[in-house]
Amino acid sequence: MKTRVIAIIACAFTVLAAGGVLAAEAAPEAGAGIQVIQQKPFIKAMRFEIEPTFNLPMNETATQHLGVGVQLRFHIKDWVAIGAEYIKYFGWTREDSDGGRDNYMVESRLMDFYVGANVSFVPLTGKFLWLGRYGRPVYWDLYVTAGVGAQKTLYFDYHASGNIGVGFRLAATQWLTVNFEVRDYMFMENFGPDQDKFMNNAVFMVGLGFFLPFTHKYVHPK
Amino acid sequence: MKRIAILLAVVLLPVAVSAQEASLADAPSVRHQKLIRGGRHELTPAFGVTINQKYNTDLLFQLSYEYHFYDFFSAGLEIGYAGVGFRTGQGKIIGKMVDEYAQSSQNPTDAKFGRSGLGLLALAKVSFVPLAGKIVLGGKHLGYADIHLTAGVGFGTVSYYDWDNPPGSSSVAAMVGGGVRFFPIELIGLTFDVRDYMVLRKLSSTDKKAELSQNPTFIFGVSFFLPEVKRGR
Repeated sequence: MKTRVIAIIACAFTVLAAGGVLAAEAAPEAGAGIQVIQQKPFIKAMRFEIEPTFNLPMNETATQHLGVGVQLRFHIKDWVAIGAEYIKYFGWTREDSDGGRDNYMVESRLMDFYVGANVSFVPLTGKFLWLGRYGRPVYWDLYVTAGVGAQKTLYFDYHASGNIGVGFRLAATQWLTVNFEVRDYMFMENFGPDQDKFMNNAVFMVGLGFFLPFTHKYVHPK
Repeated sequence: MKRIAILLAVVLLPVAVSAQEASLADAPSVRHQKLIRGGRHELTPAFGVTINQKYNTDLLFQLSYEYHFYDFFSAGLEIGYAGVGFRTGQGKIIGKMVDEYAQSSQNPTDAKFGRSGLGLLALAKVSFVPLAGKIVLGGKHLGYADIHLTAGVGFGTVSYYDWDNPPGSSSVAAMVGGGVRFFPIELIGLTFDVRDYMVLRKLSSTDKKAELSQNPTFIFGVSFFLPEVKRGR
């Protein structure tokens, strides 16, 4: 009798385990017909972002600059942030290989630094997979930004400056992002008496965004 | 009977459990995923403009074809013409000075502002998509997007403007670049790329040496994808 009971229990256990696998494959999707709003794994709202940047002006012909800087942002909501920024430029005059600058006296001005404030909005978000199908999702957003500040050149001049730009933020972890941005810093430069010229300084930036606090916790459970 | 039952349990239980584990481990990140690129043909008319040029900005008109062997890899051809354009700000300043000098001299043909730019471009290319996925606007699914890298090699020509005796214009051409592609619908992709088209340019007809001329170009294209999207497992 004892042997039969053990045999029946063992067989039933095996059948249940195997049946569970089949049932899991054959069962309809859980929650079919119910709309579920998932919690976002990466939240920016009410967090600070500190971003050291490397800056490369793109539209220079007579000069070339490299820049390093820092962006400080406070994300009020997931879609809006206010910030401050500083960029220090290191520049030099390009080789005048065809003599164009010397022969025709084209003037160039080297930049010193830019300091200012800005606001940014996030209209687009999304998620990527590596090679389109592998690994964990990489969350990203696209932001547009506008700001005002002061541009100093190496001729001891401060210039009022405005800027607009667009950026792309890839979330590597909950506290680290990789940011790419193109921004046009505009200001008036003086090249002599009554020779003010409108300058466009289009800058490509790449930076690492560190978010504080390091994690975000939902008020309500998942 | 007892031994048989225990043996049966010992043999079948790990199989059942491992079958469950395998079904999860082998499962793709996205089940029945739409393969937006894989196995599809892409035909792209595109328009481009060179950026950061010294004297001349070129306009590029291009047609390209690619076949996407996988969702993340494609190969194809592109042909374009960039022999039209306009002077940059610096080019305008120098051109104006040269024109004024020419008009004031006794022989107006003495002074010309010689410039060069891209011409015909025909390249074979490959593209790689490291990241691809969904795009959301205001919480609603807007379409699909990818980040892609591309490189190519082929034939190019250099256009010479206002040169009395321009050197030979044919050259080997190479291209590297990358960008983003947005699919508002499955049949159409909007491409925003920055590519550097590199050609060899001679400084004069007597000089045999040639220098590498870099021509970073912003390109916008509308891609038509066929056939219809397939789904993964």
